[in-house]
Amino acid sequence: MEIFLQQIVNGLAIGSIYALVAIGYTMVYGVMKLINFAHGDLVALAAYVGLTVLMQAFGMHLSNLWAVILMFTVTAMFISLFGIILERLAYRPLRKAPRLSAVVSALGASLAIENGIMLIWGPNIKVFPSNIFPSTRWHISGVVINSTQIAILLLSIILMIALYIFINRTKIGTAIRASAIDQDAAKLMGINVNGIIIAIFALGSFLGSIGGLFIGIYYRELYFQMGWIYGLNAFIAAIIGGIGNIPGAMLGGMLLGIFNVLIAGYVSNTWSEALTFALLIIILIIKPTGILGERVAEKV
Amino acid sequence: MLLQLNNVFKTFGGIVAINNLSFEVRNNQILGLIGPNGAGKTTVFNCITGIYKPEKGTIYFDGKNITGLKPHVISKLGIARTFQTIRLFPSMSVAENIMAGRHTKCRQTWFDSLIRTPKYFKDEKENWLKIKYYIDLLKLSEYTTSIVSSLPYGLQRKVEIARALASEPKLLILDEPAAGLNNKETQELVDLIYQIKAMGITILLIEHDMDMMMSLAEYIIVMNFGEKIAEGIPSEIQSNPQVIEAYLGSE
Amino acid sequence: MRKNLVWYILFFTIAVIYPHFVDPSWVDIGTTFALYSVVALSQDIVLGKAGMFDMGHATFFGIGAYTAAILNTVYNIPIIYTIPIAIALSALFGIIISWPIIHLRGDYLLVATIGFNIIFYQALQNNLFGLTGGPNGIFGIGAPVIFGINISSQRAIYYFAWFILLITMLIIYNIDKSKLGRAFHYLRESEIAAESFGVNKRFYKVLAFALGAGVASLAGVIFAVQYAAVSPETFNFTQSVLFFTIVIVGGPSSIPGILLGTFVMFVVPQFFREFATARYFVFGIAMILTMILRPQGIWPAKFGKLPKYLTKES
Repeated sequence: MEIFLQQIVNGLAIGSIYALVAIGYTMVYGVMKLINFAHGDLVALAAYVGLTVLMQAFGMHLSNLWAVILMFTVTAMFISLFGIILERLAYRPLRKAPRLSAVVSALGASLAIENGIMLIWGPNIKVFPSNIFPSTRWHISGVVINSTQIAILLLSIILMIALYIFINRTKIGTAIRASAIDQDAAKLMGINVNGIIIAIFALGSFLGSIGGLFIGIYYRELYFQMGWIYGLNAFIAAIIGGIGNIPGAMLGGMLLGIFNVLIAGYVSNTWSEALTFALLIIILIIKPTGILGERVAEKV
Repeated sequence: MLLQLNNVFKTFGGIVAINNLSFEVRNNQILGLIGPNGAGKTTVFNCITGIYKPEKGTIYFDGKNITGLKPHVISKLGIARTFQTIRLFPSMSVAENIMAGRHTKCRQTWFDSLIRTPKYFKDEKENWLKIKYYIDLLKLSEYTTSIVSSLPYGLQRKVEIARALASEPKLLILDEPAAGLNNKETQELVDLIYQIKAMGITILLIEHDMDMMMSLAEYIIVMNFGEKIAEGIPSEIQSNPQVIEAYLGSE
Repeated sequence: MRKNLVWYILFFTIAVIYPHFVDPSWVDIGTTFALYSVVALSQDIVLGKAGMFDMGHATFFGIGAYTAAILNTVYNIPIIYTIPIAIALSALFGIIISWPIIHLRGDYLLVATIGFNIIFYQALQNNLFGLTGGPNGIFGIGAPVIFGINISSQRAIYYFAWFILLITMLIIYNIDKSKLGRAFHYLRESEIAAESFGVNKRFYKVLAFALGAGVASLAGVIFAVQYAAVSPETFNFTQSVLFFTIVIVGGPSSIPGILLGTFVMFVVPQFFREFATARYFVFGIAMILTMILRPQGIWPAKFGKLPKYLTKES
């Protein structure tokens, strides 16, 4: 039972990272109906940029806390900007093109970012320092929680609540939701859809960059192809929750995190990806629109 | 009796779209279905053609119960339709679009297609020649190889009708065929519908152009809020107070 | 039509004399080009013609290669007999895999097919039933013998692969100009209109997967022969992305487009082998630029090519 609870705690930490990344997929998909395959690589890029900033900060003899704050701010700003530029260069020219052309453009962007990382940081594994958060551990009825996990969970939950309020309570949030339902109608209502798309790329990339930094802090090992695998998992999370649905992405992320950890812990490590995808396919067969997704009937 | 609807009932998310609707279409009749926007007319068509499954009630076509059958099965029995919002195959040519109507009539199996058996050649030629007939009938020969999405609206409507005719249906369902057409095109359409009737085809028609409907339809069903509120020959409908109320609203 | 025929004859003539002018490594590239073209053309049946977003087609390529490899090395069945078995098995898999997911719309189908590819890949990696040889794969696959000729030399395999490409192109051409191909196109363009005119959606969609899977499997068998070995890496999800991209970049449902797509996506990178580190970076950017400049693909499909007796004035 204790082991099980421990797994759940670990799963929630991983799950919140998936959730942060999944939101980026789901928001872009919601408005543009595009699987942004480059999102995962943006997440990987965030981890690398974060590491570089952190090393620079340590080089300047900043205290641990300030170095981490600097890492988060600089990385988040850089990646958000990167997301906006990516949209402008690779996706906006294809807004009216066949959908799969934009998908291929996204695959191209993914390839370019992945190999760009390799060109800048080299093909070898980079390692995050281990002392970013204090090595405090809490023992609660046999379950060990370390400060990194607490930080990840807390910060993720805060960000997700903030996002939820932003989407549901602000004017821009309403505009984003309106654009997701019907872009043309939104345009007619005077919503600047271009502006909305820039906003979702900035927001999605921002949350993804936090996810990427958490990956760096939590797993510590960085390799240039890592965007694919984390991206794919986050993307599955978005679909399980119901793509286009922001609370769905959060829920899907958490569920997938727990599922992954339980599979690795109780079933098999070598079959984990296959089982994750088997779960996804089963969910799609039973409920094609994911847990919280609504079926959109086509008007005839 | 070619088509018979008995107490057909259909809801969407709790909202009743069709409420216990019954009516009949006789052989070679032109039957009009009218009603204000949102009355459920197109939903009736979608239930007949199998795109929606009615929750209650039965639909008989040519003596056969077709309730809840798949669209492709119903099509094979001899029902063809046009769509309110044109649904052609946009990047294909006029001839290829019309050829869709021949899908159930083509006799080649997928294997004949794959390795080009003699049956394939015979079947292709037969059916393409049929297409030529319908292209000529609708005076579309100028546009045979044109990609349909590049054609003006009026011509696209014609291609839709040609496609439906090419399937040699017993019942032709036209969903607002005059929408978006100019006067001259509408007149052509009226002539065409008479011509189709003369071919022995039964026609079920939704149309907002009342003048056209009153002159064309032999019998009219009036719907409002998913229910039938009146039926009769055009002159009866024109003087029916309930119909006038439905269209103009009560005082 | 005439003009196209001239181009195709020229294309195959060049292919026939090509191996006599290049060194062996480029003969291998020519063989793989032919096989990848076959896979891309088979993927196109599903993706380009029937309009289903399939991003897991390397699965069927792999089923072919592994079926031949296992039957040949474990059960000593001559390669030539493994071909029909591999095609049938892969087509059957295509049917079984696609049946439950065929109703999924667009991107959901795409994700499900990625899923099957990843499950397949991990099954190969984990040495399923002790037959797939794990991460190292299977070695020592024999060569086919046809009419007493042993197809084992590099050139013989090259010509065999090109022969398979020719057959595949003929089949694809036949599909396009028939009821079968039109039904696929109708489904892609408007499902509701297609169904309303009698196209059995489920039948044709599953059939597209079965045909696509069968043809890809055929290429897989020859691929196993070419390298006398198979390993999981060649059939992973990245490989599916390559085939997917070939179709979209080249021009969905267009035979010349897909041949060009294979050339651009597979052969061109071979020229830049020396720049190993930077080439995929540049390649990714080239993919974006290609789509922006040619959103319909480099050589889009053309519709409206009709039989003569229909178009000529009478």
